[in-house]
Amino acid sequence: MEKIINVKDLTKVYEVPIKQGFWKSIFVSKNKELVAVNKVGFGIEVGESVALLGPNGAGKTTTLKMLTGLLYPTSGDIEVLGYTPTDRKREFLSQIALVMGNKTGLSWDLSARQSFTLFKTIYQIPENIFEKRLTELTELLDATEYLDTPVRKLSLGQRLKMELVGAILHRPSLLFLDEPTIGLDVVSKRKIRNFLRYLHREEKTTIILTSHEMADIEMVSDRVIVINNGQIVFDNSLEKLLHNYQDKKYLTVTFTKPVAIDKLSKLGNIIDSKELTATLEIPREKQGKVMARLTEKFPVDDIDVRSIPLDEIMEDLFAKTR
Amino acid sequence: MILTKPLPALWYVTFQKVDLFMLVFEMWPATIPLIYLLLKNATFQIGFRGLILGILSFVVGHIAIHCFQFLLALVTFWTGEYRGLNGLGYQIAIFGDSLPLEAYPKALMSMGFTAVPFLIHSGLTTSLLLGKTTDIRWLFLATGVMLAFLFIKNKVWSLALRQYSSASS
Repeated sequence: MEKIINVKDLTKVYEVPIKQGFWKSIFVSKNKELVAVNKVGFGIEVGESVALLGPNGAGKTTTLKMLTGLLYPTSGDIEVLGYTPTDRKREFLSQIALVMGNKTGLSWDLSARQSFTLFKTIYQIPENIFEKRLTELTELLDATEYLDTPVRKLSLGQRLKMELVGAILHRPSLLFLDEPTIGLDVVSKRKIRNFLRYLHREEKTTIILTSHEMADIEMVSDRVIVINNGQIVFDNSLEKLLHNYQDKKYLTVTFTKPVAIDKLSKLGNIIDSKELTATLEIPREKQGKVMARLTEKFPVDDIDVRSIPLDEIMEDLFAKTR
Repeated sequence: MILTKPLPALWYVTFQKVDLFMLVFEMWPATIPLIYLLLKNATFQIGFRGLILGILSFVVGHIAIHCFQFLLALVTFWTGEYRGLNGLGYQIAIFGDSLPLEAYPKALMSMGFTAVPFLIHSGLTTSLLLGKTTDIRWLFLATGVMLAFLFIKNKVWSLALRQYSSASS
């Protein structure tokens, strides 16, 4: 497959001023170096949907900003769609889009439709294609009714839907998303995830996403790059990541009457217990045996079996690579 | 965000908001009332040549002083602070309002024409309008200063973007 992004030894060091006295800060200011991204390297193929994950300050957004040409790398090579992003060539910028959950790309004082009309001119979208595309996208996101509302009057969820529409009006081949569902309610989150999945599957858009929402990753991304302390600590498919943590299972058991916790603890590690429910952590290979013992020895009403949640996998991965 | 759109970013930043009210407001003290009063006053005559040269000088001077103010604002990419310099830039821009060029000592005139070009849109414009200065070389000099400032503005903008270092904003 053709590589759309090639990153080699990418490093970004921020100079952070050290607080000193007034005169000292003027005449002998000192900076300390903060390595945000440290010799990172990866390649992304056409049509992939990749999640950049990591704790706060791991270097995800910095990487994303370097990939879109907003930040200049301290060292290393980046090639996106065959261009050096910081050259900000028109041909390059016409093929990408960036949506940041905490920033707006729309004019605050205009309606979304007015901003889109401006984008139509910027990206030179023919009128008939523009209208068709706008209708299609707003219908997909259930956002037609807010098209003529000033952006400042939209709710966060409505605004983010409009940000997405604005970002992909010109059918970018590469879409960068920085925490696109931050602060949204469950309905809006689901809508946006479904929409991103649609873009990836139907329009073959390559998606690079950062998020702290594991559901975003599960629904939108096929590949996961985990960054911690500026370095890549995992780069593979989501299935592979989940498989690495398949050695444990979680059984949430509902009882018909209260049970003795000490007896239950003999079957596995109790990680949560209430009057009529308990969650056991057990080795995967013992799942069948433990379930048999549970139904045999305890007044079981229901057993829910699940693998380790992605959140916990991430937590573990971040802790291991701290 | 605008840097990710296929637009000349500096052009967009410069013209994103053209405050017509402020533009008219800033023209007001130095030029329009002056023209009005002088046209009414029989002892002063404004010739067509002076008027045209005055308008040109006003435009050229405004571009130069805008570049100067913009350059001051760009310091924020290095220092992280902007408001103080913005205020200073504004004060410098209006410093030369209303007085003709001849009212300034030579040293201040030199500075106001080169490093801190606050005398072009104000002093020179007034002087040309009044016909106190008829030497067109002043306008050539002003145009040269404007072009130099435009060039420097472009260069410093490119350098400033390299300094942008916020991961969160």
